[in-house]
Amino acid sequence: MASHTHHAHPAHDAHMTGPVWLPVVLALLLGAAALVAGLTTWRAATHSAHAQKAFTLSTQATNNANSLQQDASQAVNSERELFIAYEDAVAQHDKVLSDEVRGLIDPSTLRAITWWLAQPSGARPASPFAAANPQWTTPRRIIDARSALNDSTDLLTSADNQIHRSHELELFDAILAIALLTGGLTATLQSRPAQMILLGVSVAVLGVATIGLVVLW
Amino acid sequence: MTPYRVLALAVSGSMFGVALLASCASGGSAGNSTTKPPDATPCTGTIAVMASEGAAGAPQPAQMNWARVALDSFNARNGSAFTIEPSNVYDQTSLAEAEARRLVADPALVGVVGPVSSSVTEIAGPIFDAAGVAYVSPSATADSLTDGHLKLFFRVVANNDKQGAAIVHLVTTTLAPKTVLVVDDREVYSTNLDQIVARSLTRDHIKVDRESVSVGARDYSNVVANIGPATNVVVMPLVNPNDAQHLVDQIHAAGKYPAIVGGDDMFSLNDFNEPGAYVPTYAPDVSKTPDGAATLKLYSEIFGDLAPFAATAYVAMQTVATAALDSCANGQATRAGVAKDLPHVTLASTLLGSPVAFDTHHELIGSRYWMYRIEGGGYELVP
Repeated sequence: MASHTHHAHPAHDAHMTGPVWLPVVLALLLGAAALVAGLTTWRAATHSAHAQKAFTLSTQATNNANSLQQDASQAVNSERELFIAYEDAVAQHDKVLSDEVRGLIDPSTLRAITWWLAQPSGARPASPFAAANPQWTTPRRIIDARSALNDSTDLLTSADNQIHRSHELELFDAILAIALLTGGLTATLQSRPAQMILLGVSVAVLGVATIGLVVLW
Repeated sequence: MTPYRVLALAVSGSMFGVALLASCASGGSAGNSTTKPPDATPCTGTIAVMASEGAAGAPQPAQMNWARVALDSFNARNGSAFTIEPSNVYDQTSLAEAEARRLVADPALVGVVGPVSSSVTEIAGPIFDAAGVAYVSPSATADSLTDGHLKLFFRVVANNDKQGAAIVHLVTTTLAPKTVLVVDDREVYSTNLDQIVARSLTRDHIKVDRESVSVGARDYSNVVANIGPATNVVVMPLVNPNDAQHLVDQIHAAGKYPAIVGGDDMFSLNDFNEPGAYVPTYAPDVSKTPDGAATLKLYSEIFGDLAPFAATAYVAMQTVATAALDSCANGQATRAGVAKDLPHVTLASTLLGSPVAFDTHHELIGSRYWMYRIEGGGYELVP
Protein backbone atom coordinates (compact mmCIF):
# COMPACT_ATOMS: atom_id res chain seq x y z
CA MET A 1 0.00 0.00 0.00
CA ALA A 2 2.77 2.24 0.89
CA SER A 3 4.39 1.75 -2.48
CA HIS A 4 1.00 2.32 -4.22
CA THR A 5 0.57 5.57 -2.35
CA HIS A 6 3.93 6.81 -3.61
CA HIS A 7 3.11 5.98 -7.23
CA ALA A 8 -0.33 7.54 -6.91
CA HIS A 9 1.08 10.94 -5.81
CA PRO A 10 4.38 11.54 -7.70
CA ALA A 11 3.82 15.29 -7.64
CA HIS A 12 3.77 15.27 -3.89
CA ASP A 13 7.33 13.76 -3.84
CA ALA A 14 8.70 16.42 -6.20
CA HIS A 15 7.22 19.27 -4.19
CA MET A 16 9.81 21.76 -2.91
CA THR A 17 10.51 21.63 0.76
CA GLY A 18 11.42 24.64 2.84
CA PRO A 19 9.80 27.95 3.73
CA VAL A 20 6.71 29.00 1.88
CA TRP A 21 8.40 32.12 0.43
CA LEU A 22 11.28 30.15 -1.10
CA PRO A 23 9.71 29.44 -4.53
CA VAL A 24 8.85 33.10 -5.03
CA VAL A 25 12.30 34.26 -3.97
CA LEU A 26 13.96 31.70 -6.21
CA ALA A 27 11.81 32.72 -9.15
CA LEU A 28 12.71 36.35 -8.59
CA LEU A 29 16.37 35.51 -8.12
CA LEU A 30 16.64 33.44 -11.26
CA GLY A 31 14.65 36.01 -13.22
CA ALA A 32 16.88 38.81 -12.00
CA ALA A 33 20.00 36.79 -12.78
CA ALA A 34 18.74 36.13 -16.29
CA LEU A 35 17.94 39.82 -16.77
CA VAL A 36 21.33 40.97 -15.49
CA ALA A 37 23.04 38.34 -17.64
CA GLY A 38 21.17 39.58 -20.69
CA LEU A 39 22.00 43.21 -19.99
CA THR A 40 25.63 42.33 -19.31
CA THR A 41 25.96 40.45 -22.60
CA TRP A 42 24.34 43.30 -24.45
CA ARG A 43 26.61 45.97 -22.87
CA ALA A 44 29.70 43.84 -23.51
CA ALA A 45 28.73 43.57 -27.17
CA THR A 46 28.06 47.32 -27.35
CA HIS A 47 31.45 48.18 -25.83
CA SER A 48 33.14 45.77 -28.19
CA ALA A 49 31.45 47.40 -31.19
CA HIS A 50 32.43 50.87 -29.98
CA ALA A 51 35.99 49.67 -29.54
CA GLN A 52 36.09 48.41 -33.12
CA LYS A 53 34.80 51.74 -34.36
CA ALA A 54 37.33 53.66 -32.25
CA PHE A 55 40.17 51.45 -33.50
CA THR A 56 39.18 52.17 -37.07
CA LEU A 57 38.90 55.91 -36.45
CA SER A 58 42.23 55.88 -34.62
CA THR A 59 43.97 54.26 -37.57
CA GLN A 60 42.44 56.82 -39.88
CA ALA A 61 43.44 59.70 -37.57
CA THR A 62 46.99 58.37 -37.33
CA ASN A 63 47.23 58.29 -41.11
CA ASN A 64 45.91 61.86 -41.27
CA ALA A 65 48.39 62.97 -38.61
CA ASN A 66 51.31 61.37 -40.43
CA SER A 67 50.24 62.98 -43.66
CA LEU A 68 49.90 66.41 -42.00
CA GLN A 69 53.27 65.97 -40.31
CA GLN A 70 54.95 65.12 -43.60
CA ASP A 71 53.28 68.07 -45.33
CA ALA A 72 54.39 70.43 -42.56
CA SER A 73 57.99 69.16 -42.61
CA GLN A 74 58.03 69.47 -46.38
CA ALA A 75 56.69 73.03 -46.12
CA VAL A 76 59.42 73.96 -43.60
CA ASN A 77 62.17 72.69 -45.92
CA SER A 78 60.60 74.04 -49.08
CA GLU A 79 60.07 77.59 -47.81
CA ARG A 80 63.64 77.78 -46.53
CA GLU A 81 65.16 76.44 -49.74
CA LEU A 82 63.11 78.76 -51.93
CA PHE A 83 63.93 81.76 -49.74
CA ILE A 84 67.66 81.02 -49.97
CA ALA A 85 67.36 80.65 -53.76
CA TYR A 86 65.45 83.94 -53.90
CA GLU A 87 68.04 85.76 -51.77
CA ASP A 88 70.81 84.35 -53.97
CA ALA A 89 69.09 85.59 -57.12
CA VAL A 90 68.54 89.03 -55.58
CA ALA A 91 72.18 89.20 -54.45
CA GLN A 92 73.29 88.36 -57.99
CA HIS A 93 70.91 91.01 -59.39
CA ASP A 94 69.36 88.27 -61.53
CA LYS A 95 65.87 89.66 -61.92
CA VAL A 96 64.67 86.88 -64.18
CA LEU A 97 65.74 84.18 -61.73
CA SER A 98 64.43 86.05 -58.70
CA ASP A 99 61.05 86.49 -60.41
CA GLU A 100 61.01 82.81 -61.28
CA VAL A 101 61.80 81.77 -57.72
CA ARG A 102 59.21 84.22 -56.40
CA GLY A 103 56.67 82.58 -58.66
CA LEU A 104 57.41 79.24 -57.05
CA ILE A 105 56.88 80.52 -53.51
CA ASP A 106 53.39 79.95 -52.12
CA PRO A 107 51.33 83.03 -51.13
CA SER A 108 51.61 82.57 -47.35
CA THR A 109 55.40 82.24 -47.51
CA LEU A 110 55.52 85.25 -49.79
CA ARG A 111 53.59 87.27 -47.21
CA ALA A 112 56.06 86.14 -44.53
CA ILE A 113 59.00 87.26 -46.67
CA THR A 114 57.32 90.56 -47.52
CA TRP A 115 56.74 91.29 -43.81
CA TRP A 116 60.35 90.49 -43.02
CA LEU A 117 61.70 92.68 -45.83
CA ALA A 118 59.57 95.56 -44.56
CA GLN A 119 61.23 95.52 -41.11
CA PRO A 120 64.27 97.71 -40.35
CA SER A 121 67.26 95.63 -41.46
CA GLY A 122 69.17 96.11 -38.18
CA ALA A 123 66.32 95.04 -35.92
CA ARG A 124 64.51 92.32 -37.82
CA PRO A 125 64.75 88.61 -37.04
CA ALA A 126 67.54 86.63 -38.65
CA SER A 127 65.14 85.15 -41.21
CA PRO A 128 61.49 85.53 -42.25
CA PHE A 129 60.77 82.20 -40.59
CA ALA A 130 60.85 83.47 -37.04
CA ALA A 131 58.29 83.43 -34.24
CA ALA A 132 58.03 87.22 -34.38
CA ASN A 133 56.72 87.14 -37.93
CA PRO A 134 52.92 87.18 -37.69
CA GLN A 135 52.64 86.32 -41.40
CA TRP A 136 54.56 83.07 -41.01
CA THR A 137 51.85 80.41 -40.70
CA THR A 138 53.84 77.19 -40.93
CA PRO A 139 53.97 76.69 -37.12
CA ARG A 140 50.20 76.36 -37.13
CA ARG A 141 50.51 73.43 -39.55
CA ILE A 142 52.88 71.71 -37.12
CA ILE A 143 50.39 72.30 -34.32
CA ASP A 144 47.50 70.93 -36.39
CA ALA A 145 49.56 67.83 -37.15
CA ARG A 146 50.19 67.36 -33.47
CA SER A 147 46.53 67.88 -32.70
CA ALA A 148 45.62 65.16 -35.22
CA LEU A 149 48.13 62.85 -33.59
CA ASN A 150 46.64 63.59 -30.17
CA ASP A 151 43.19 62.79 -31.56
CA SER A 152 44.39 59.43 -32.80
CA THR A 153 45.99 58.68 -29.44
CA ASP A 154 42.77 59.63 -27.64
CA LEU A 155 40.77 57.32 -29.89
CA LEU A 156 43.19 54.48 -29.32
CA THR A 157 42.97 54.99 -25.57
CA SER A 158 39.20 55.02 -25.81
CA ALA A 159 39.21 51.79 -27.83
CA ASP A 160 41.47 50.16 -25.24
CA ASN A 161 39.12 51.22 -22.45
CA GLN A 162 36.07 49.88 -24.28
CA ILE A 163 37.71 46.54 -24.97
CA HIS A 164 38.76 46.31 -21.35
CA ARG A 165 35.21 46.99 -20.16
CA SER A 166 33.80 44.54 -22.65
CA HIS A 167 36.09 41.79 -21.38
CA GLU A 168 35.24 42.52 -17.75
CA LEU A 169 31.51 42.43 -18.52
CA GLU A 170 31.98 39.07 -20.21
CA LEU A 171 33.67 37.86 -17.04
CA PHE A 172 30.67 38.99 -14.98
CA ASP A 173 28.45 37.18 -17.44
CA ALA A 174 30.34 33.96 -16.76
CA ILE A 175 30.18 34.54 -13.01
CA LEU A 176 26.40 34.99 -13.24
CA ALA A 177 26.14 31.36 -14.35
CA ILE A 178 27.07 30.50 -10.75
CA ALA A 179 24.00 32.37 -9.51
CA LEU A 180 21.79 30.52 -11.95
CA LEU A 181 23.31 27.17 -11.00
CA THR A 182 23.12 27.63 -7.24
CA GLY A 183 19.64 29.14 -7.50
CA GLY A 184 18.44 26.16 -9.49
CA LEU A 185 20.07 23.67 -7.13
CA THR A 186 18.41 25.30 -4.12
CA ALA A 187 15.05 23.97 -5.23
CA THR A 188 16.30 20.39 -5.26
CA LEU A 189 17.72 20.28 -1.73
CA GLN A 190 15.90 18.98 1.33
CA SER A 191 18.18 20.44 3.95
CA ARG A 192 17.16 23.92 4.98
CA PRO A 193 20.67 25.08 5.97
CA ALA A 194 21.96 23.91 2.57
CA GLN A 195 19.16 25.79 0.87
CA MET A 196 20.02 28.95 2.76
CA ILE A 197 23.72 28.64 1.89
CA LEU A 198 23.05 28.20 -1.83
CA LEU A 199 20.49 30.99 -1.75
CA GLY A 200 23.05 33.23 -0.05
CA VAL A 201 25.63 32.38 -2.69
CA SER A 202 23.16 33.16 -5.46
CA VAL A 203 22.21 36.51 -3.94
CA ALA A 204 25.84 37.45 -3.37
CA VAL A 205 26.90 36.57 -6.92
CA LEU A 206 23.93 38.40 -8.37
CA GLY A 207 24.77 41.44 -6.23
CA VAL A 208 28.38 41.49 -7.35
CA ALA A 209 27.42 41.07 -11.00
CA THR A 210 24.82 43.84 -10.77
CA ILE A 211 27.30 46.24 -9.19
CA GLY A 212 29.83 45.33 -11.87
CA LEU A 213 27.26 45.98 -14.58
CA VAL A 214 26.42 49.39 -13.13
CA VAL A 215 30.08 50.37 -12.77
CA LEU A 216 31.06 49.18 -16.24
CA TRP A 217 27.85 50.29 -17.99
CA MET B 1 -3.37 35.78 -5.44
CA THR B 2 -0.98 35.45 -2.50
CA PRO B 3 1.05 38.42 -1.31
CA TYR B 4 4.26 36.69 -2.46
CA ARG B 5 2.95 36.39 -6.01
CA VAL B 6 1.92 40.03 -5.99
CA LEU B 7 5.41 40.93 -4.82
CA ALA B 8 6.96 38.72 -7.49
CA LEU B 9 4.89 40.37 -10.21
CA ALA B 10 5.79 43.84 -8.93
CA VAL B 11 9.50 43.08 -8.84
CA SER B 12 9.41 41.51 -12.28
CA GLY B 13 7.62 44.55 -13.65
CA SER B 14 10.22 46.83 -12.11
CA MET B 15 13.05 44.82 -13.68
CA PHE B 16 11.37 44.98 -17.06
CA GLY B 17 11.10 48.73 -16.65
CA VAL B 18 14.78 48.97 -15.71
CA ALA B 19 15.75 46.97 -18.79
CA LEU B 20 13.65 49.23 -21.01
CA LEU B 21 15.18 52.37 -19.49
CA ALA B 22 18.63 50.90 -19.91
CA SER B 23 18.05 50.21 -23.56
CA CYS B 24 16.77 53.75 -24.06
CA ALA B 25 19.83 55.19 -22.34
CA SER B 26 22.26 53.16 -24.38
CA GLY B 27 22.60 55.48 -27.32
CA GLY B 28 26.20 56.32 -26.42
CA SER B 29 28.73 57.31 -28.98
CA ALA B 30 31.72 55.26 -29.96
CA GLY B 31 34.75 56.38 -28.03
CA ASN B 32 35.52 59.73 -26.55
CA SER B 33 35.04 62.45 -29.06
CA THR B 34 37.49 65.28 -28.56
CA THR B 35 36.07 68.74 -27.91
CA LYS B 36 36.30 70.84 -31.01
CA PRO B 37 35.80 74.56 -31.12
CA PRO B 38 32.44 75.72 -32.37
CA ASP B 39 32.11 76.89 -35.94
CA ALA B 40 31.07 80.40 -34.83
CA THR B 41 33.05 83.47 -35.86
CA PRO B 42 36.50 83.13 -34.31
CA CYS B 43 37.50 85.74 -31.76
CA THR B 44 40.11 88.18 -33.04
CA GLY B 45 42.49 90.68 -31.50
CA THR B 46 46.18 91.48 -31.43
CA ILE B 47 48.44 90.45 -28.57
CA ALA B 48 51.84 92.12 -28.55
CA VAL B 49 54.98 90.44 -27.31
CA MET B 50 57.65 92.81 -26.05
CA ALA B 51 60.79 90.66 -26.19
CA SER B 52 63.81 90.02 -28.35
CA GLU B 53 63.01 89.08 -31.94
CA GLY B 54 66.46 87.56 -32.35
CA ALA B 55 68.02 90.17 -34.61
CA ALA B 56 71.74 89.90 -35.26
CA GLY B 57 73.67 90.74 -32.09
CA ALA B 58 70.54 90.66 -29.91
CA PRO B 59 69.67 88.03 -27.30
CA GLN B 60 68.15 84.82 -28.58
CA PRO B 61 64.38 85.05 -29.15
CA ALA B 62 63.51 82.27 -26.71
CA GLN B 63 60.71 84.24 -25.03
CA MET B 64 59.27 85.33 -28.39
CA ASN B 65 59.37 81.70 -29.54
CA TRP B 66 57.59 80.38 -26.46
CA ALA B 67 54.95 83.12 -26.71
CA ARG B 68 54.33 82.29 -30.37
CA VAL B 69 54.03 78.56 -29.68
CA ALA B 70 51.54 79.38 -26.91
CA LEU B 71 49.44 81.64 -29.12
CA ASP B 72 49.29 79.23 -32.06
CA SER B 73 48.43 76.33 -29.73
CA PHE B 74 45.77 78.42 -28.00
CA ASN B 75 44.19 79.39 -31.32
CA ALA B 76 44.22 75.78 -32.50
CA ARG B 77 42.63 74.54 -29.31
CA ASN B 78 39.99 77.24 -28.93
CA GLY B 79 39.17 78.17 -32.49
CA SER B 80 40.26 81.75 -31.88
CA ALA B 81 42.22 83.89 -34.35
CA PHE B 82 44.38 86.13 -32.17
CA THR B 83 47.47 87.46 -33.89
CA ILE B 84 50.91 88.28 -32.56
CA GLU B 85 52.52 91.72 -32.81
CA PRO B 86 56.24 91.64 -32.09
CA SER B 87 57.93 94.47 -30.25
CA ASN B 88 61.68 94.10 -30.33
CA VAL B 89 62.52 95.45 -26.87
CA TYR B 90 64.25 93.44 -24.16
CA ASP B 91 66.41 95.54 -21.85
CA GLN B 92 66.84 98.66 -24.02
CA THR B 93 65.17 101.34 -21.93
CA SER B 94 65.83 103.85 -24.71
CA LEU B 95 63.36 102.02 -26.97
CA ALA B 96 60.71 101.33 -24.37
CA GLU B 97 58.65 104.52 -24.60
CA ALA B 98 58.50 104.71 -28.39
CA GLU B 99 57.60 101.04 -28.73
CA ALA B 100 54.93 101.25 -26.03
CA ARG B 101 53.39 104.25 -27.81
CA ARG B 102 53.49 102.42 -31.16
CA LEU B 103 51.71 99.42 -29.68
CA VAL B 104 48.91 101.30 -27.92
CA ALA B 105 48.21 103.28 -31.09
CA ASP B 106 46.99 100.04 -32.72
CA PRO B 107 43.25 99.82 -31.96
CA ALA B 108 43.34 96.04 -32.44
CA LEU B 109 45.80 95.61 -29.55
CA VAL B 110 44.08 93.91 -26.61
CA GLY B 111 46.99 92.92 -24.36
CA VAL B 112 50.74 92.62 -24.05
CA VAL B 113 53.08 89.82 -23.07
CA GLY B 114 56.00 91.63 -21.50
CA PRO B 115 57.99 93.70 -20.94
CA VAL B 116 60.66 91.19 -20.06
CA SER B 117 62.80 93.46 -17.88
CA SER B 118 61.86 95.48 -14.82
CA SER B 119 63.55 98.66 -16.07
CA VAL B 120 61.64 98.59 -19.37
CA THR B 121 58.44 97.89 -17.44
CA GLU B 122 58.93 101.06 -15.38
CA ILE B 123 58.98 103.10 -18.61
CA ALA B 124 56.43 101.26 -20.78
CA GLY B 125 54.03 100.46 -17.92
CA PRO B 126 52.56 103.95 -17.41
CA ILE B 127 51.91 104.21 -21.17
CA PHE B 128 50.08 100.87 -21.19
CA ASP B 129 48.16 101.89 -18.06
CA ALA B 130 47.04 105.16 -19.64
CA ALA B 131 45.82 103.30 -22.73
CA GLY B 132 44.00 100.67 -20.65
CA VAL B 133 46.20 97.83 -21.94
CA ALA B 134 46.96 95.04 -19.49
CA TYR B 135 50.47 93.57 -19.65
CA VAL B 136 51.76 90.29 -18.26
CA SER B 137 55.49 89.96 -17.79
CA PRO B 138 57.21 86.59 -18.08
CA SER B 139 60.38 87.74 -16.30
CA ALA B 140 60.24 91.20 -14.66
CA THR B 141 60.89 90.50 -10.99
CA ALA B 142 61.46 93.86 -9.24
CA ASP B 143 59.37 94.07 -6.09
CA SER B 144 58.37 97.68 -6.76
CA LEU B 145 56.45 96.79 -9.91
CA THR B 146 53.51 95.52 -7.88
CA ASP B 147 53.43 98.28 -5.27
CA GLY B 148 50.34 99.71 -6.95
CA HIS B 149 51.81 102.41 -9.18
CA LEU B 150 51.41 100.20 -12.28
CA LYS B 151 47.70 99.48 -12.39
CA LEU B 152 47.56 96.89 -15.16
CA PHE B 153 50.85 95.09 -14.58
CA PHE B 154 50.76 91.34 -13.92
CA ARG B 155 53.52 88.78 -13.81
CA VAL B 156 53.69 85.00 -13.92
CA VAL B 157 56.96 84.75 -12.01
CA ALA B 158 58.02 85.28 -8.42
CA ASN B 159 59.49 88.62 -7.35
CA ASN B 160 62.98 89.47 -6.13
CA ASP B 161 61.89 89.19 -2.53
CA LYS B 162 61.35 85.48 -3.13
CA GLN B 163 64.58 85.24 -5.09
CA GLY B 164 66.43 86.76 -2.15
CA ALA B 165 64.73 84.33 0.20
CA ALA B 166 65.77 81.40 -2.02
CA ILE B 167 69.39 82.58 -2.00
CA VAL B 168 69.40 83.07 1.77
CA HIS B 169 67.83 79.65 2.26
CA LEU B 170 70.54 78.04 0.14
CA VAL B 171 73.36 79.87 1.91
CA THR B 172 72.13 79.15 5.42
CA THR B 173 71.02 75.55 4.93
CA THR B 174 73.54 74.16 2.44
CA LEU B 175 76.71 76.23 2.32
CA ALA B 176 77.66 76.48 6.03
CA PRO B 177 78.62 80.16 5.73
CA LYS B 178 81.42 81.71 7.77
CA THR B 179 81.73 85.04 5.99
CA VAL B 180 79.63 85.90 2.94
CA LEU B 181 80.81 88.44 0.36
CA VAL B 182 77.87 90.08 -1.43
CA VAL B 183 78.76 91.74 -4.75
CA ASP B 184 76.53 94.13 -6.70
CA ASP B 185 77.05 95.92 -10.00
CA ARG B 186 75.29 99.18 -8.97
CA GLU B 187 72.26 98.31 -11.14
CA VAL B 188 68.83 98.46 -9.47
CA TYR B 189 68.24 94.72 -9.89
CA SER B 190 71.56 93.81 -8.32
CA THR B 191 71.58 96.31 -5.46
CA ASN B 192 67.99 95.59 -4.43
CA LEU B 193 68.61 91.87 -4.41
CA ASP B 194 71.85 92.26 -2.49
CA GLN B 195 70.11 94.39 0.12
CA ILE B 196 67.52 91.67 0.69
CA VAL B 197 70.21 88.99 0.97
CA ALA B 198 72.56 91.01 3.19
CA ARG B 199 69.75 92.07 5.53
CA SER B 200 68.52 88.52 5.99
CA LEU B 201 72.00 87.04 6.52
CA THR B 202 72.90 89.75 9.04
CA ARG B 203 69.66 89.03 10.87
CA ASP B 204 70.82 85.42 11.04
CA HIS B 205 74.10 86.61 12.66
CA ILE B 206 76.19 85.72 9.62
CA LYS B 207 79.10 88.04 8.83
CA VAL B 208 78.52 89.84 5.54
CA ASP B 209 81.00 91.90 3.49
CA ARG B 210 79.86 94.11 0.59
CA GLU B 211 81.60 95.02 -2.65
CA SER B 212 80.48 96.88 -5.76
CA VAL B 213 81.64 96.60 -9.36
CA SER B 214 80.58 98.24 -12.62
CA VAL B 215 78.64 96.65 -15.45
CA GLY B 216 81.05 95.54 -18.16
CA ALA B 217 84.11 95.82 -15.90
CA ARG B 218 87.12 93.66 -16.73
CA ASP B 219 89.21 94.13 -13.59
CA TYR B 220 87.75 92.64 -10.42
CA SER B 221 90.86 92.81 -8.25
CA ASN B 222 88.99 94.73 -5.53
CA VAL B 223 86.53 91.87 -5.17
CA VAL B 224 89.24 89.22 -5.25
CA ALA B 225 91.20 91.08 -2.56
CA ASN B 226 88.12 91.20 -0.35
CA ILE B 227 87.79 87.41 -0.29
CA GLY B 228 89.57 86.55 2.93
CA PRO B 229 90.37 83.13 4.40
CA ALA B 230 87.02 83.08 6.22
CA THR B 231 85.01 84.00 3.13
CA ASN B 232 83.53 80.76 1.87
CA VAL B 233 80.50 82.10 -0.01
CA VAL B 234 80.27 84.85 -2.68
CA VAL B 235 76.79 86.01 -3.65
CA MET B 236 76.95 87.90 -6.96
CA PRO B 237 73.60 88.53 -8.70
CA LEU B 238 75.02 90.60 -11.53
CA VAL B 239 72.89 91.91 -14.40
CA ASN B 240 75.34 90.72 -17.03
CA PRO B 241 76.15 87.00 -16.82
CA ASN B 242 79.37 87.55 -18.81
CA ASP B 243 80.56 89.88 -16.05
CA ALA B 244 79.83 87.16 -13.53
CA GLN B 245 81.83 84.65 -15.56
CA HIS B 246 84.81 87.02 -15.71
CA LEU B 247 84.60 87.67 -11.97
CA VAL B 248 84.55 83.96 -11.16
CA ASP B 249 87.48 83.33 -13.51
CA GLN B 250 89.54 85.98 -11.69
CA ILE B 251 88.61 84.61 -8.25
CA HIS B 252 89.78 81.15 -9.28
CA ALA B 253 92.89 82.55 -10.94
CA ALA B 254 93.82 83.94 -7.53
CA GLY B 255 93.58 80.44 -6.05
CA LYS B 256 90.35 81.13 -4.15
CA TYR B 257 87.40 78.78 -4.37
CA PRO B 258 84.43 80.03 -2.36
CA ALA B 259 80.94 78.77 -3.18
CA ILE B 260 79.47 80.96 -5.93
CA VAL B 261 75.81 81.98 -5.85
CA GLY B 262 74.37 84.01 -8.72
CA GLY B 263 71.07 85.64 -9.61
CA ASP B 264 68.42 84.57 -12.11
CA ASP B 265 69.98 86.72 -14.85
CA MET B 266 72.82 84.22 -14.82
CA PHE B 267 70.57 81.24 -15.52
CA SER B 268 71.92 80.77 -19.03
CA LEU B 269 74.56 78.16 -19.72
CA ASN B 270 75.64 79.97 -22.87
CA ASP B 271 76.74 82.94 -20.75
CA PHE B 272 77.50 81.52 -17.32
CA ASN B 273 78.59 77.91 -16.91
CA GLU B 274 80.82 77.72 -13.87
CA PRO B 275 80.76 74.13 -12.57
CA GLY B 276 79.57 73.99 -8.96
CA ALA B 277 78.02 77.47 -9.02
CA TYR B 278 74.43 77.95 -7.84
CA VAL B 279 71.88 79.93 -9.83
CA PRO B 280 68.23 80.55 -9.00
CA THR B 281 65.46 80.73 -11.58
CA TYR B 282 61.83 81.75 -11.54
CA ALA B 283 60.78 78.79 -13.70
CA PRO B 284 61.35 75.09 -13.22
CA ASP B 285 63.21 73.22 -15.93
CA VAL B 286 60.31 72.50 -18.28
CA SER B 287 62.37 69.97 -20.17
CA LYS B 288 61.69 67.75 -17.17
CA THR B 289 57.91 68.24 -16.99
CA PRO B 290 55.79 65.97 -19.24
CA ASP B 291 54.04 68.79 -21.13
CA GLY B 292 57.22 70.83 -21.36
CA ALA B 293 59.30 67.97 -22.71
CA ALA B 294 56.65 67.18 -25.34
CA THR B 295 56.46 70.81 -26.43
CA LEU B 296 60.23 71.15 -26.62
CA LYS B 297 60.46 68.00 -28.70
CA LEU B 298 57.82 69.17 -31.13
CA TYR B 299 58.73 72.80 -31.64
CA SER B 300 62.45 73.17 -31.03
CA GLU B 301 63.21 71.96 -34.56
CA ILE B 302 61.10 74.64 -36.15
CA PHE B 303 61.66 77.49 -33.69
CA GLY B 304 65.27 76.78 -32.86
CA ASP B 305 65.80 78.33 -29.46
CA LEU B 306 63.25 77.20 -26.89
CA ALA B 307 65.43 77.62 -23.82
CA PRO B 308 63.51 76.10 -20.90
CA PHE B 309 63.98 79.18 -18.67
CA ALA B 310 61.89 81.25 -21.12
CA ALA B 311 58.84 78.99 -20.87
CA THR B 312 57.20 81.55 -18.58
CA ALA B 313 56.49 83.48 -21.80
CA TYR B 314 54.28 80.56 -22.85
CA VAL B 315 52.30 80.90 -19.63
CA ALA B 316 52.12 84.70 -19.93
CA MET B 317 50.67 84.38 -23.44
CA GLN B 318 48.26 81.68 -22.29
CA THR B 319 47.06 84.03 -19.55
CA VAL B 320 46.49 87.03 -21.84
CA ALA B 321 44.82 84.90 -24.53
CA THR B 322 42.53 83.30 -21.95
CA ALA B 323 41.41 86.72 -20.72
CA ALA B 324 40.91 87.85 -24.32
CA LEU B 325 38.77 84.84 -25.14
CA ASP B 326 36.79 85.00 -21.91
CA SER B 327 35.91 88.63 -22.52
CA CYS B 328 35.32 88.25 -26.25
CA ALA B 329 32.10 89.70 -27.60
CA ASN B 330 30.84 89.58 -31.19
CA GLY B 331 34.04 87.96 -32.36
CA GLN B 332 36.26 90.74 -31.06
CA ALA B 333 38.31 90.91 -27.88
CA THR B 334 38.85 94.33 -26.35
CA ARG B 335 41.59 95.78 -24.18
CA ALA B 336 38.96 96.84 -21.61
CA GLY B 337 37.66 93.29 -21.48
CA VAL B 338 41.13 91.82 -21.07
CA ALA B 339 42.05 94.34 -18.35
CA LYS B 340 38.83 93.53 -16.49
CA ASP B 341 39.16 89.76 -16.87
CA LEU B 342 42.87 89.26 -16.17
CA PRO B 343 42.69 89.53 -12.36
CA HIS B 344 40.22 86.65 -12.37
CA VAL B 345 41.98 84.38 -14.86
CA THR B 346 42.84 80.98 -13.45
CA LEU B 347 44.68 78.21 -15.24
CA ALA B 348 44.41 74.93 -13.39
CA SER B 349 47.68 73.62 -14.78
CA THR B 350 50.37 74.93 -17.09
CA LEU B 351 53.47 73.83 -18.91
CA LEU B 352 55.43 74.77 -15.79
CA GLY B 353 53.54 72.19 -13.75
CA SER B 354 51.85 74.80 -11.55
CA PRO B 355 48.55 76.73 -11.75
CA VAL B 356 48.05 80.42 -12.50
CA ALA B 357 45.98 82.82 -10.42
CA PHE B 358 46.74 86.35 -9.29
CA ASP B 359 46.46 87.98 -5.88
CA THR B 360 45.18 91.50 -5.32
CA HIS B 361 48.62 92.94 -6.14
CA HIS B 362 48.64 91.01 -9.44
CA GLU B 363 51.39 88.74 -8.17
CA LEU B 364 51.26 85.07 -9.09
CA ILE B 365 49.78 83.10 -6.20
CA GLY B 366 52.12 80.35 -5.04
CA SER B 367 55.09 81.69 -7.01
CA ARG B 368 58.56 80.57 -5.98
CA TYR B 369 62.17 80.33 -7.06
CA TRP B 370 64.05 77.16 -7.91
CA MET B 371 67.74 76.78 -7.11
CA TYR B 372 70.01 74.89 -9.49
CA ARG B 373 73.64 73.82 -9.33
CA ILE B 374 75.67 73.78 -12.54
CA GLU B 375 77.05 70.27 -13.04
CA GLY B 376 78.28 68.40 -16.07
CA GLY B 377 77.28 71.13 -18.49
CA GLY B 378 73.71 71.18 -17.18
CA TYR B 379 71.58 72.16 -14.21
CA GLU B 380 70.85 69.95 -11.21
CA LEU B 381 67.96 70.96 -9.01
CA VAL B 382 68.92 71.70 -5.41
CA PRO B 383 66.09 70.45 -3.19
